[in-house]
Amino acid sequence: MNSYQQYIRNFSIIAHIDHGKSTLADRLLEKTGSVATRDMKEQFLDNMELERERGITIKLQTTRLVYKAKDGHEYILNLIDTPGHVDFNYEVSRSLAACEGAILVVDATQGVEAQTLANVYLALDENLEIVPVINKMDLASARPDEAKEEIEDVIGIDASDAPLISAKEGLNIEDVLEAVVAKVPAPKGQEDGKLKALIFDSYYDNYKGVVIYARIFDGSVKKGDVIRLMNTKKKYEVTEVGVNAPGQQPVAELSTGSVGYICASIKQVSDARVGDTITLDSDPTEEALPGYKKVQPMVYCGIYPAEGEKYENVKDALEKLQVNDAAFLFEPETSTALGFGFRCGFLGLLHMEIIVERLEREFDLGIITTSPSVIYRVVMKDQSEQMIQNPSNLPDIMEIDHIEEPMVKADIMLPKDYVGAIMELCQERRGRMLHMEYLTETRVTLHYDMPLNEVIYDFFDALKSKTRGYGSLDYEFDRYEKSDLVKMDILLNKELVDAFSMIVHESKAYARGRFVCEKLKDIIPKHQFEIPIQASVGQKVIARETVRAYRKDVLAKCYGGDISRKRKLLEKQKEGKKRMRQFGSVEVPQEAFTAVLKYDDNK
Amino acid sequence: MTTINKELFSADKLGIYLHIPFCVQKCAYCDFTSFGGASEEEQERYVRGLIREIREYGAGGETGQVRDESGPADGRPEPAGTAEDEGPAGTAEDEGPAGPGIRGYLAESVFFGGGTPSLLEPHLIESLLAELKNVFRVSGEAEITLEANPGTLSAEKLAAYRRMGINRLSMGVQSMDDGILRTLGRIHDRKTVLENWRQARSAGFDNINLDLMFGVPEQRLEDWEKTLSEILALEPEHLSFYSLQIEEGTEFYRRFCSGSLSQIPEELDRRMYHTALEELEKRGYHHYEISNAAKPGFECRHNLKYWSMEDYLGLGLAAHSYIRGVRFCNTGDRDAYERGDRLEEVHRNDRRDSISDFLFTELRLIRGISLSEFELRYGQPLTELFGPQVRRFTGEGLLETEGDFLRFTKKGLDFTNTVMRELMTAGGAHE
Repeated sequence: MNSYQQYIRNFSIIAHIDHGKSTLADRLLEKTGSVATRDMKEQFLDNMELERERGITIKLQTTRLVYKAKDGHEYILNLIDTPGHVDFNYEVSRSLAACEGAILVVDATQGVEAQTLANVYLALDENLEIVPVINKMDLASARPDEAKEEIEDVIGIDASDAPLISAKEGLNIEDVLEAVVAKVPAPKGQEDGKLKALIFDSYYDNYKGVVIYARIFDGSVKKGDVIRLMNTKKKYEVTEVGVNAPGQQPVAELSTGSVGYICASIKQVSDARVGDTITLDSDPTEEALPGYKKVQPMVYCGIYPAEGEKYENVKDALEKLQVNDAAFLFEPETSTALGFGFRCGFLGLLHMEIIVERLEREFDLGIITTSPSVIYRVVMKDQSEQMIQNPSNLPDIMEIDHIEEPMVKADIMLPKDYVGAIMELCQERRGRMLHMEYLTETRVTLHYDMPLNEVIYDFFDALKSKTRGYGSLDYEFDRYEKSDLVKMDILLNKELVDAFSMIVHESKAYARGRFVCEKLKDIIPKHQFEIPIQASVGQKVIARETVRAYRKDVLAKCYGGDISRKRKLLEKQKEGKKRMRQFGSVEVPQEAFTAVLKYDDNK
Repeated sequence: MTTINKELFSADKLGIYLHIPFCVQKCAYCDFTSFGGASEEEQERYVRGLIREIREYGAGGETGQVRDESGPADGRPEPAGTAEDEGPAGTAEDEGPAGPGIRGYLAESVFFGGGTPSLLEPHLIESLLAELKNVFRVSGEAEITLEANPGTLSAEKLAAYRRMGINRLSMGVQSMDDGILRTLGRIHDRKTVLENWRQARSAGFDNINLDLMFGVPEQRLEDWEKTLSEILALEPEHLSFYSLQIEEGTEFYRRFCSGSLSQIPEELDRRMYHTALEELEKRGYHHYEISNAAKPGFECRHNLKYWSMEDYLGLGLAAHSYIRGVRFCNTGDRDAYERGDRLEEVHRNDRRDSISDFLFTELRLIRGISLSEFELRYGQPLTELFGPQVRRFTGEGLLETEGDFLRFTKKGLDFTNTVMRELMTAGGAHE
């Protein structure tokens, strides 16, 4: 092994949401002098506003830290941050593949969570050295011994010498750095080998084009090299290589074992997909690194410009987002109710919520989203198959032999006190329990076989609320399974509004229909005429509500000469109406589209 | 700019409104600019401020603080809308937007509104009236109205008002049901109404309006019918009947939001309204505005100015004016007003505003909007500018055209806002 490689450590931090990953990363930066304390924004690595607000990392950041260890040597520590949510499992696995080790942050008050566990397994799959750390020691309720025991019982690694820290208070941070140096192996690449680098992140920069974050396994790369991406088979000339220190600093070369960024005038991130292998075009390696996967959206919904919003603006914004997000797909579609819009595909519901929020916040767009849907496999009577993700596209029921829906394996980890409530919830969501596992005396994992379509609505919210935040969920696609699914339509004033159509399980249709009708009744304002709201399956009406007509809309008096006041009042009311969607003669406020998606706890 | 030849404006007519913002106590539904429990000294100070404002118009006229002779923005004066004796109306500022020699206008009506103008000692009203006549040309035939609330009147006061030239009273009766009067927070009861009414007639008032209110929480149809029949038995010359509106910032609004007050069903409110219309018609009243009816010849001339885009000048706190295409209003801040810091807002109507105002005010008249007048004013037929809207609402049975007039149908009277909202903001108002 080359001497410089022994002073490199490539590692990630694995932690459950809220367990202090970002705070720890901040402290590491601070401790190594990479960021002056006065420049610290809270949680330096989470640089999207949305991330900081939600306390989750969506896009990863990677940072090079220089640490002078107690052994007198200076080490380069490459911290590769990982996204923290179930929707981004694949990205997490690729980030981990770029490392030799991972710090496992466990909350001293809460112990090991499902999300943590899932990522630990991913890390173990990549043969990473796990460095456990017990965080939140500043809290009175900290139970470090129980947390250590849980790590040993559940994960099966030694946690006896795990540093006891408080990232928030900056307690024992140096112990973490020492543990990384001592326990995480140095990279073992072949310096004279053919270039083999793993893309673990990429994003679009307006000036540089796509910026690839890569780990160099063998060989090296420098400006002027022509690189080849082995899966997409595209070639580019490198315009810049560098490291995040933090803040991008160009370097002459990225050498074996190191982590850095590569720019090569690439136009969109889908051309430099996470997991792809970079090699030299002139002297390519034979074999790509394992594990590449083209991620597929699992959840779809329609995104439409709201009243007064331009289609082109929405399209531009979606394009901009896609440039940065290879997992996000969209294509034009038309709804009779909402006009021209887009069908968009997401990794999961969180991914969808993030994109929608970014459209609204960063791009300041008014949009309407339709009910999220999974992809159904529709088997026709002639045995041909169609994949349907927009309920409106469901073929004529007479021609359908049967419909299959995606099933997931869901692992739910929770304190045992909540098992009853969650089993009830899962059963209500058509889940089938496979088995239950006691992790410790008080913590349980429930393994469920569940339809994805039951998970995507609000399962996660319900889980959180029923376990007071202690439950956690991880799921992955398993298979398609035949199911009694029906398309439920909503009719306003006898006219079908396709944007409300959804595919539901037959057993849930009545409850869902009632719920949607009630919601719409509360949201749709009174008109001059009565408006029947109906939910129907086929020709059969399964739920009905009525918005009563208003009987008066008058201004009894008009104050002594103060015309403008009343005029403004009417103009304001009219302005409010602009936020309405007109369906036939019925005006529907835009909130209606999101309101029907949210389950009430009470219902 | 120099002095304007008064003759130039001799044809211009004006209504003058004076706002008296004092009451014994604030009613639970009232959101006008008014104050309960003001001392006599405060009242006098306010009246002095009002006199100063009147005088400045006088000075403005003489020194010729005049803007231009070009006339209103859109080539014609415009109307304003109002129901009988409501709160503050227009005003003009010294050299302000009232523009050229407003003194030259002929005042055809004077309206003391409030608040409760009859709370003031008659000599204060008299001094205001004298000042007005000093500064403006007040027609010998002018309609001079005083809002007079039951409970603040006496035979002596009424006789004094009559003597000084007040020729029309507008009494805020609201209801003949003591329970409802209490709910509304009025200071009077049924008995007081009858007593004050007799006193007013004895004092010689032969043109009296009574204000009524329906749709009050807990009010039943029979309560309303009873009030109506008692009131009609008095044979007032004029009646205003308002559906209670819960306005933000009022006691009712707070109670409504907290759930301790609920509105009567819309259907009931409409039955009350249409019952009133039927009764009034039977008794020979002329229903001429959404909430107003009068014996023929007794329509309120002052308020008609609001509803037909004629000029009016509002004096006093928070008073609104409309003169030659310009809307302006006084501050609602008493201190600022009394300091002489009056003008709050000036808006010169553009064509679009003017069309909106015209529709908004004129449609309040039961006879409707004159199509020929509209075309004369704006150079385009109304049906051309608002074709789709007029067709839609005619189709829905809310509007109808008879002869030269486009007006609300009986049904349309229940949905006036629905129609006006569309008309006022329709793109057709642009050229």
